[in-house]
Amino acid sequence: MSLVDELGTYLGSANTRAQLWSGLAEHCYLALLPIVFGTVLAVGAGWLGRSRPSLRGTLGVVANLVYTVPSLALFVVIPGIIGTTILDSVNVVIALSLYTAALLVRPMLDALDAVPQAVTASATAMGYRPARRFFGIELPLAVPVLAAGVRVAAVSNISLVSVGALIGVGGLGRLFTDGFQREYYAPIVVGVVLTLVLALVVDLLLVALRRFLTPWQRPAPRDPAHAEEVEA
Amino acid sequence: MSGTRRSGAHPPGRLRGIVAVCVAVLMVAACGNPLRGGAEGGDEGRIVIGASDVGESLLLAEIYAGALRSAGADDVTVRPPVGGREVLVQALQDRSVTLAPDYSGNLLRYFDENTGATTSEEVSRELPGALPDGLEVLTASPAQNTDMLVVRGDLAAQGVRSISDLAPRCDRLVFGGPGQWADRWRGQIRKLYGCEFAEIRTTDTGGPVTVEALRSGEVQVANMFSTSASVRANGFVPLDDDRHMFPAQNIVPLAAEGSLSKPERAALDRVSAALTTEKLTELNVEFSERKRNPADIADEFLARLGEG
Amino acid sequence: MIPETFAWFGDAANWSGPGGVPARLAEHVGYVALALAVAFVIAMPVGLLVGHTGRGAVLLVGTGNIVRALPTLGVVTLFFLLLADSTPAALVGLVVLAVPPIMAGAYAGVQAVDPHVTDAASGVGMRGMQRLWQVEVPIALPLLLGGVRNAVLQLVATAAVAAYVGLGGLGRYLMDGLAILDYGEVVAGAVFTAALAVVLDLLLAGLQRVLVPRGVRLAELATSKGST
Repeated sequence: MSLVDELGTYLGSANTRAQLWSGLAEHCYLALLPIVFGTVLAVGAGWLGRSRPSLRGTLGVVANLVYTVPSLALFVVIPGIIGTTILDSVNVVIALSLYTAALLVRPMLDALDAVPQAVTASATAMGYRPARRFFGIELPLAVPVLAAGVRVAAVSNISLVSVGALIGVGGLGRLFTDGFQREYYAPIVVGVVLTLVLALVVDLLLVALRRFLTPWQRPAPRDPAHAEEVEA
Repeated sequence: MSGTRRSGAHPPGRLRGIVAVCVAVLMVAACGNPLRGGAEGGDEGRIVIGASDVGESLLLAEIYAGALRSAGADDVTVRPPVGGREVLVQALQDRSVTLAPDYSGNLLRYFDENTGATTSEEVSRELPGALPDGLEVLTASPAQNTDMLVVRGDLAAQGVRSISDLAPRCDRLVFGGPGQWADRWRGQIRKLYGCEFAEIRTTDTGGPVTVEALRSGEVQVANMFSTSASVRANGFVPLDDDRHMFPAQNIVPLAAEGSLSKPERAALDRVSAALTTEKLTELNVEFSERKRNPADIADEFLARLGEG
Repeated sequence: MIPETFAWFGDAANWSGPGGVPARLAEHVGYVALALAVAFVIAMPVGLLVGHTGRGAVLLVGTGNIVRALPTLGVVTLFFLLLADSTPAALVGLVVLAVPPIMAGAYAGVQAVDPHVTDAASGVGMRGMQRLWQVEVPIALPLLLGGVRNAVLQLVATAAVAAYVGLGGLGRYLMDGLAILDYGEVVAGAVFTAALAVVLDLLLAGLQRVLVPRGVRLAELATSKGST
């Protein structure tokens, strides 16, 4: 049977299609919820780094350490630390939130540093308290850098959720374990394609979101955006 | 300094930021929440069926799911397969799984290592008593799927047809099987057959890694299962268990105690009764050789029974 | 979980033989090293060339992004079906996934070289290849080595996942332990894998410090201070 025929038979089953949809939805949820949590964590770390400069070094080191730990290792160790069962999808969400936060902390701190002194000084002069200054001025200016990091984190998370299939968590990963167990190409091919499509769609949505949040940046100049793309 | 700050004015960035967060959260929420846990079944109505990583287990899980749905249960899901019996027992005991298919002989040995039961009747008799609190078994099926030691055709051609034939050569052979095999059977096979392998390697539970290892000669003896389609498909030869080391392995639903209602149990019993070893082997071929969706295979099987 | 882990560590059988920690660790490092070498040979020249000539950048960035978005488990299982053997399949998968970070690092590194510097180099009479190796690559080293570091992290993690298709190494503890819920084995596997990743990362960071020419490092420090 050629691959095309195989795909036809595979996708021909209504049950399979239903499972693909729910797998895609679960995958989406498990990959994107951590982005929200991770960003919040990173913003908090950024705030901490701004108000207590002595902690910056530690924050950087911790972030680096967390990012270095391999995903599967983190998935299985988290239950021991917070007491969930080993097969719970919460482990994946927590692990990926930590990765997202770790990925965003350094750019966050750098971006906050890059806000010109003159701007923060005039904000203070206008009567902005530190919190208002942070959320109203410094954070929005940090958005482009954050956005680049969030895009990388989103793609990375989408890829890592599949690994969760090894601990029985849902998402598209079970297409790979199924295809492997039965020596069946179709689910694996479909899984890879769907993962890529999901990554592309999410990436485009995030770019649109960034443009929405930074009206002062349109249109973006070519070269810095290019370098930004590459680093992402 | 009048006029510098209008009441209620926010810097535009802040408003956009709030909107962005809402959009992000909605986007994520739209994907749906798969994190609902718990499978208390029965009165709560939510039934989660677990499966081990052997393909047949998923097939049986889907059959159970279909039977339960037609008995009126409206929230039945089948969890993605993972791990072995240890994982499922744990999940059943903490009630994150309501029900899982299991094999009577190995299940009994899991809780009672020293059992002498080997036939179906003996095993069925001892099983309920051996189970810990929180677990129960329903009626076992006549269908069986037993462990088998298999060898490649070339070794069989040398006159090795049973495990007794294999015994004198064991110390020169490498064995491949699931991780728990050594714990479960190393002592038994030495006691009954005097067989001690040169090396016991972990491959997987009769899956592609085991098949590949035996095919390539990396292992010379492998643990596979009697209803598996890959034994014949690869030309492997099962060895006769002439001294009955492996007990009867009837398919039996293992459930969290008290989690299933009467009609649900009746439906499962009907399905178990209708399952035979030949039928199960056929279904396995549908699953692993013809690569059909297990839910489809289950639907068809149940429809023919009049249960679907 | 903690008592089981200690029990596992205390069991002498886990420290010797083909399934023992030293053997598995050696296997894991071996796979990472081999895949890194192959990926390096493939990715470095491509990245450097595209960065140096400026042609094919869109293709490089695009391909890199696509490959980076590939799910690790999918790649590894696909190659297993194609090659029917655990180790080659896993190794091919490892190489494929390690190429984008190295390529991106090489490209970004050369791209980021100040055009005035390359201009000056041509002005002094350096030809293309000379300029590349004597000027652009040394300046690109931090980003290049950064790419290698990312690749190594990716490799350690993917090699652990590849245990699913039968590969040896530290991932075996994770997979075998998970199948029978031997928490001790699982946590031991997680700890060793994480520790290996951290150690390798630190080694590479040290290497980065040693290899990057002093002048480049000072220049970086100077430019970063002057940005605000």
